[in-house]
Amino acid sequence: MLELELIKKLQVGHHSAFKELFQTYSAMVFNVCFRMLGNQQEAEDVTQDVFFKVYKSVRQFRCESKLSTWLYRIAINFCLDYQRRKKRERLLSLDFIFENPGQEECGVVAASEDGLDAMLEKSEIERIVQNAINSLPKHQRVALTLQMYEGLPYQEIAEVMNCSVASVESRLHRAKQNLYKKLSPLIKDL
Amino acid sequence: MNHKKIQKKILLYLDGDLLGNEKDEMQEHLRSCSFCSKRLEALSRVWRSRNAMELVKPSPYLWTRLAERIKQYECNCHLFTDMSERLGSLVRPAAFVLLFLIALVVGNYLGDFSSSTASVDSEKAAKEEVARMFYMDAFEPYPPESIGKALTIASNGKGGEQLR
Repeated sequence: MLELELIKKLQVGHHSAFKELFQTYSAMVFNVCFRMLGNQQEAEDVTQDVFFKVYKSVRQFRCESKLSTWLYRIAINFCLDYQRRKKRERLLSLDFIFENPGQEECGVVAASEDGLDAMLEKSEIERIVQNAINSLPKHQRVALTLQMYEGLPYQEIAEVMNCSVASVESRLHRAKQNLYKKLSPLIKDL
Repeated sequence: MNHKKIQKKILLYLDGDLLGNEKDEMQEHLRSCSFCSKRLEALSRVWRSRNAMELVKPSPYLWTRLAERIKQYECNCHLFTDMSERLGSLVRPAAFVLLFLIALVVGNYLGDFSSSTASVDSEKAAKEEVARMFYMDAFEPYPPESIGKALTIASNGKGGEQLR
């Protein structure tokens, strides 16, 4: 179904259109949530929240952007809200006092004494890179996630983040420079 | 370009984000500097493998959970609409009855007030009537053939004129 036709049917309340929307875009939304949150269960919960929000607010969608851009925007906002809420709950529960500053927080794992080769497994590298990305400031993290993992062009990233293309370029620039600093201990053995 | 500046831009170079002069300077430096080119090679292995991991797929029950949630939401919406309609059908008559009661109370209060002032007036009117009957109204002159005039003349003479 064409996007415009799909939106019209959604706005009228067709359940089959909503199911089609879910089937088309759920993987995309889930991936973004998973990259942002790093946890499958949380990503599924937020994905559900995103589509529920879409169901309630599709009548207000004015087709000023693509449907995917709108979905990305909702997903990113929900992920950031979720992280903020989780951080607040963690602070209030005082659990952070008893936690070690984990590798997830620092974003980098120092090279082991056996050298890099032992660590250079795909999943380990992926985890390290993901942790490093998660430790970046919010706007840099979002821009990098959308570019790296979703392959979005600068223009679309700007629409999702509601900023200019120049801001996106600047954020990506800084993100990669910061990321380099976080990843360089990984390759310091060379 | 010094090593620090070069290394900060390595990821940008790997992603093809460096253009023009910056790109040329980077390439020139990498040709001549083995340390930076080794760093580039190591980092490119790390950087390029970031998408190599298999994507995690969402649970197949995600749609079922979402559909259930939407169904629950729709039920709650209907319940809310029903409740507000029922309340509406009760509230309107109750409002009318309340207004009626208020009108009764206010009317009763106003009625008591006006009847109490009327009784004072009627008492006064009765007294004035008695005074007029016997020509004892202080501001009225005695009519010529009245007893009051006769008595006044008989007792006072000139005083009767003064009284007038």
